[in-house]
Amino acid sequence: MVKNFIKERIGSIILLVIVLVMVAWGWISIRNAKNNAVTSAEAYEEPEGNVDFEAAGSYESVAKNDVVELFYNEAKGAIQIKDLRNGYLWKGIVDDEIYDMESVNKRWTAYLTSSISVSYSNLEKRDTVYSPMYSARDANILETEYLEDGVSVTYGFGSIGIYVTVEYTIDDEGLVVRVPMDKVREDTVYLLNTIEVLPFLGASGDEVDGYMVYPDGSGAVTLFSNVNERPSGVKASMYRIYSDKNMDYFSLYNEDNRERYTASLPVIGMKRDDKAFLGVITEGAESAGMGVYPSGSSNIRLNHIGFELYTRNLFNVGVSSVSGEGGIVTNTATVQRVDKNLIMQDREIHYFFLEEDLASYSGMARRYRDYLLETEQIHDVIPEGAQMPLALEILMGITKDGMVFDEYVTMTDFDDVVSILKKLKAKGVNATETVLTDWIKGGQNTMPDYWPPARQLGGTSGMKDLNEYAQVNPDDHIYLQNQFTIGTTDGGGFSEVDDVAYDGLEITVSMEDFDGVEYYMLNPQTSFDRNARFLEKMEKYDSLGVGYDYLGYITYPDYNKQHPFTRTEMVNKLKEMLRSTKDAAHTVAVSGENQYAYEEANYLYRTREGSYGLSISDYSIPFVQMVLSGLVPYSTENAGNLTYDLQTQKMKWIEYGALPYFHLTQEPALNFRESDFDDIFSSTYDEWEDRVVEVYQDMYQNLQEVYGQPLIDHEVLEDNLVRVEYENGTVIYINYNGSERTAEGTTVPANSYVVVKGGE
Amino acid sequence: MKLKRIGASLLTCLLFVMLVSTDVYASSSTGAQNYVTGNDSYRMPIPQCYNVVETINNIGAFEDEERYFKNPQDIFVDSYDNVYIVDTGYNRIVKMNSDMETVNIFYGDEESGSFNAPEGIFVEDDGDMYLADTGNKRILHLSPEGKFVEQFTNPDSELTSGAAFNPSKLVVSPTGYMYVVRGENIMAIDGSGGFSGLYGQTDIGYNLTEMILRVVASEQQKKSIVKRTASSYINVTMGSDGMIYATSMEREEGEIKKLNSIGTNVYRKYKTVGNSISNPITEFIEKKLLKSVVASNSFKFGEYFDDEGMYMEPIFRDIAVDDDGIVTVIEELNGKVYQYDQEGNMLVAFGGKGESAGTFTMPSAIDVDSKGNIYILDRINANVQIFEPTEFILLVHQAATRYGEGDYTASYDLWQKVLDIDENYDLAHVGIAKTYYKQGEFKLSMDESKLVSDRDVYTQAFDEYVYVVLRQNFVLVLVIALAIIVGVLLLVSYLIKTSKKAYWSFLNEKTKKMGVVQGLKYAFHMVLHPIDAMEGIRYNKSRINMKVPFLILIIAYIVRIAYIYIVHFPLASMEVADANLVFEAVKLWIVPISWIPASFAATSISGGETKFPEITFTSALSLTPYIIINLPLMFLSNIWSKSQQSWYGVFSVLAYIGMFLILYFAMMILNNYTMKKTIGMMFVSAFMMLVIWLVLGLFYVLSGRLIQFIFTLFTEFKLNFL
Repeated sequence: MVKNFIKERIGSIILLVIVLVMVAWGWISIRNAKNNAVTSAEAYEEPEGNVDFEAAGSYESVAKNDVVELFYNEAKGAIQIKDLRNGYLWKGIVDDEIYDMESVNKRWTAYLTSSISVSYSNLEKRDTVYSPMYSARDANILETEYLEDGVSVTYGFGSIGIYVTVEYTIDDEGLVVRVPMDKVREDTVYLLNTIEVLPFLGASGDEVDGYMVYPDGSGAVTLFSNVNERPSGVKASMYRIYSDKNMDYFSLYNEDNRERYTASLPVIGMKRDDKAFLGVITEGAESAGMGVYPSGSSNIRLNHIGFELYTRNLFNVGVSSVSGEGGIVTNTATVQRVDKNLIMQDREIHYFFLEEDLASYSGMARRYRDYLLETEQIHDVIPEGAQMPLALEILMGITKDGMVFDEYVTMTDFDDVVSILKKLKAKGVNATETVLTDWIKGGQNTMPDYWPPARQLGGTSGMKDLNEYAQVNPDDHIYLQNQFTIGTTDGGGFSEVDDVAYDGLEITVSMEDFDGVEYYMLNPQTSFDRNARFLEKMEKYDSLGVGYDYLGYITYPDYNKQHPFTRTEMVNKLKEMLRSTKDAAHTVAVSGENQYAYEEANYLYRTREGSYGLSISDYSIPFVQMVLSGLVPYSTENAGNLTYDLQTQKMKWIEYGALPYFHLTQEPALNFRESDFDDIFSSTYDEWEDRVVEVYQDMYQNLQEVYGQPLIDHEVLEDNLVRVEYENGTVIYINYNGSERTAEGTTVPANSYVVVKGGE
Repeated sequence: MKLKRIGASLLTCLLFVMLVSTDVYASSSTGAQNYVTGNDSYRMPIPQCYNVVETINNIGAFEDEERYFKNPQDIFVDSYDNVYIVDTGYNRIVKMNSDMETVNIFYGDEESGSFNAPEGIFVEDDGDMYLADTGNKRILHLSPEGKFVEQFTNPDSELTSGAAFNPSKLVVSPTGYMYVVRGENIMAIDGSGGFSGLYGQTDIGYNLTEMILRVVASEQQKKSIVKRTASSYINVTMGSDGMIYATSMEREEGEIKKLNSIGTNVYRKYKTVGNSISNPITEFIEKKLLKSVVASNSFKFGEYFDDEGMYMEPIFRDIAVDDDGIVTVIEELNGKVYQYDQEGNMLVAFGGKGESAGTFTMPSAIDVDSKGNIYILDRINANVQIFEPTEFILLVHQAATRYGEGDYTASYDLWQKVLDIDENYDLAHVGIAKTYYKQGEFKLSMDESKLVSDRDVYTQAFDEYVYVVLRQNFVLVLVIALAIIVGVLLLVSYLIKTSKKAYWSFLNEKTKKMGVVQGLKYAFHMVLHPIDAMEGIRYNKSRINMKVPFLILIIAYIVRIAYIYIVHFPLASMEVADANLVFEAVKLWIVPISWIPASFAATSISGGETKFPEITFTSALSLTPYIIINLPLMFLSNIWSKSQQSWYGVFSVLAYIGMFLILYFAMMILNNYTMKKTIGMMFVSAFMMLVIWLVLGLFYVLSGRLIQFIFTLFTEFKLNFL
């Protein structure tokens, strides 16, 4: 009966259900829209301000030690700091002495005279974009608390109910700026997104002799004097420290995106005449970025550089709409949503004021390096008298797509590795830093598998032989590269629900490729656990080190319900992971050059060589390398066998203090054709042996004495002529020109370099 | 009416998607990586070929002039390496010396009046300038000092008077003729300003979408279809060989042209279709028919997809040719620079859109100086970037030039040097293979060209090699060939006999059902005697074995897969690695399987007698000719090469003709139709089949949409409520 009744009316019933669902959906949407319409902002009563924006105020000394003196202007909430060693006054905001304030509009006047600016969103209209608030115009509530060594200022933006406290104090090094997050107050629906701190500290017009330094790639310099050489519509450039701010797979993983937008060190610098400052984020650098504003950007003839603190994570939401005839056209727009919660991480910025020979980018790098040494964030891992190694990356096995089955192609097996190292040894290559990649069963398609070694390469017994070789040849450091950052559905072996990273909208941080394989970022706890299991497997192979791919250039927060992480927590987890590897008696190699990797690394590979090449960057400098040199061995991203000219590449290595580096295989590179590795167009060991040995011998004979020495100075003498100096006084002139050059009395042949030993 | 139109547009959309989607390939390589592409649009990374050595953002310290450029449209480097920039936005010409210091700026003198939005320039060796003063609709001849000499306006001629004269890009030949880009032609003007002819008319070509539209559209609609004109030229330059090099919107080898004195394109002409073209019929077979059977017969300059893998049609905004005949073009949409040798082989692709040095926003012009440095003008960035060739690309240029000059030993050594740097550089392997060929080392040449899948060189070497083998082992080859022929003949006669037996036993033993083996033999018989076999089925419908059609489908599929592995590589339609099991099955089965419902639907409404089982049976059996032809053909192809590809193509086509015939006879006999009616019903069925494909395609697209919609709904829900 009932059955028949339903059967006869099945169409109507389905229709009814659909209608009901639609009605319910509509009702919910309307309710939601109504909820949104009633903003509590209307209920918020703006407190009365205590600031007279017209008052000029005056700077009073609030703290002083042997090095610096801090002045504070209570009426404006602004600071100035005096370097007592030379009497130089650094101004926190712009005044008429620095820039003609008459020439700019009101908004810019407000910005130029602000100590902080904030950007914010609306909790209930999260897609709305507001123009930023400036402390000199919008902070109508100012509360000052005098501390023993400085001052704590609360900037209250009454109209949006946001309060930010900034502590300006001094220590023996210079200025310390702290932003305690527990003192951030949000009284209304407005949410604090970012805080720009002292954006105009040291701001300089075109007439000043100086430059800005920022870690674009290995480091880049913007000269004030070059303002007229740049394009007409020059743009400011923003960098996010360690990893992209956007939390989607593409932004994090894409190489071009990374090279464009990320900074590997939390460092900025500015040189004005013979003085300079170095800004370092010493706490909470993981959620911060920096802005570089060359003269001419936004039509203001002022160079300035500053940090921006991210107080909330942002997420990209793709909204797709269907339109057009035939349903073919798709429009996708990306909307940014802010997280509801603040990143509860205090931030601290140290400003070091430098003079004399330290007032240069080389000096800044030296100062930063000393800071890292003092705080034990980097260690000298190069023993006294160590031989300069040759850096090798050896690719072991790949899979190529076949029609029915994928084809495994052995490129270099474990025996080949031993024989290559032996052959090199016989030819005088005394030491190597060798990273073995793609040695895991199944080739490259099996991420995130970390075990076992492919049987085609010799399997565990081959690995045992390699371990024995490493045991008797302690100068050959061999690292098995693994990665614990990315997982694919092809590889499997992890839960696509529990073990992966989520963004704040509880969507996995993942991407699908053309073959329908999904790529995920793994949860940091998962990474840690997997590494622990890998270390158990590696117990028998204690003379082999571990190389970590991706670790030195990808970080992200994770909203995974079981194991949530902030960026800072993730970085700490990564450090803990590296420590556990070292505790298990394995050496550690890391790919990338993010600062957090320095602490535990025995070797860094694929570090950036040069900057991205924006029109605002006048030249690239080895800033990262000057921090590392003499402490941790490193190679750069450019392999000698993949360059257009080995001689030029060799000189680049010498300029950057990097090890000679080759990316090799035993089997011919022809096998890479039409595979995932086709960018390795040349790698066959037998083809390259002579050239590898020749380059190594040349560099060994000339540069062994500076191996383990810090690179203390780098200078571009003229176009394509560079001078570098090591701590022991050895100077090297590198001439990239096609003709001979003379530098400081030394003749440097075309396309060559000359080493002048210290004291000669 | 409206429905029909929507149907037609959907159909064309679908066909378009099916046609283009197969060879769109996205590469993960970033803009910085240099690469080359072969015919299959696969990007092969190579070493860095050009470095940016200088960027000119303004005119430098030169009097009180506007410092920056505005929308500059052309750059010209003269024989003394002076650089002329046509600064269109500011109506001026900026002349710089070889150190890129501004030495002069021209706005036009009193006699000529000021320039108005000039777009192109050509400078003779003596420094005389010819300026396309586009806004003023004239060409100006100026002295090296910028003084007015003469001007040219629209030349008088029946051919030109109708159209407006908007000169934009031009060259002047050493003989004094001016060649100006004018729509689908290049117009020649003589020294006295007289009209001297239209050169190099571009190919109108044919358009599949339009053809289908014409079939589907009504009379009224046909009128409204816009008549297609030939593709336009974009830019011209003069080679040191006196040839005019041009870029145009023409497709498939027409993107870049090298025009001789009578306006014939001699660049890469027919290079891609082998050497065997002798008459219009074989030419037709090779150019039109074989494209679908043998891969890599169509060649396109540049790339037809952007860095994200999206389909796009390239616009080669400008072209430059250096003294060695190396051709470099700049593509506007993707910002890539492509370089070709005199044979039209791609040497390198680099550049791209972006913010870093060596990338562009909207490149508008390119030229090359005497040292091989490339100057590229960007009209949005309003700057010039100067690219210096690296050691690597210089080696490639030398090797390609030496080879072009016929100095094979020198080019061999140079190619070896190229391989020392890049072991995988395609052209070096081809160059070496060619040298081996010239030296008579055919086997080596074959091996080398096979490494990089070069079908043409392989074919040359293979043909010679076969000849050599034949000559050396004539008797042996003869014996083996005879043995094979005899064996095949015996096999065929046995098959004929046994299939005939199977046929008669099926007809005579009225009580027994068809056996599987018997069914297969019956299928063989059907190929030879389709009418008899169909009659047999018609009167014994109930006794056919339905396992047979499925078996045939599976055997055909196995043959297809084996074929992909076994067929000789110069004749292969795809590489094994590119093959996809599912896609192959779809390609093979889509016609016979979709024919079943289509012809059933068509015949059942017009007095047909057939039911599903026998339609299924005959449709599947239509693949039998495919099996019979391809099984021997895949082995036979191994003694053939590209020079026999028209024969090969004929055999391939025979399989489809056989399939058609079986479907035809099946419909005619099983339904008891007349011949004429059968033809009509075939058309109806074919149309039904297209409709089925369309519906399936729509379903596929829409279900994807639906899933996407649900996912979006879910995301939105999450965003709003969680």
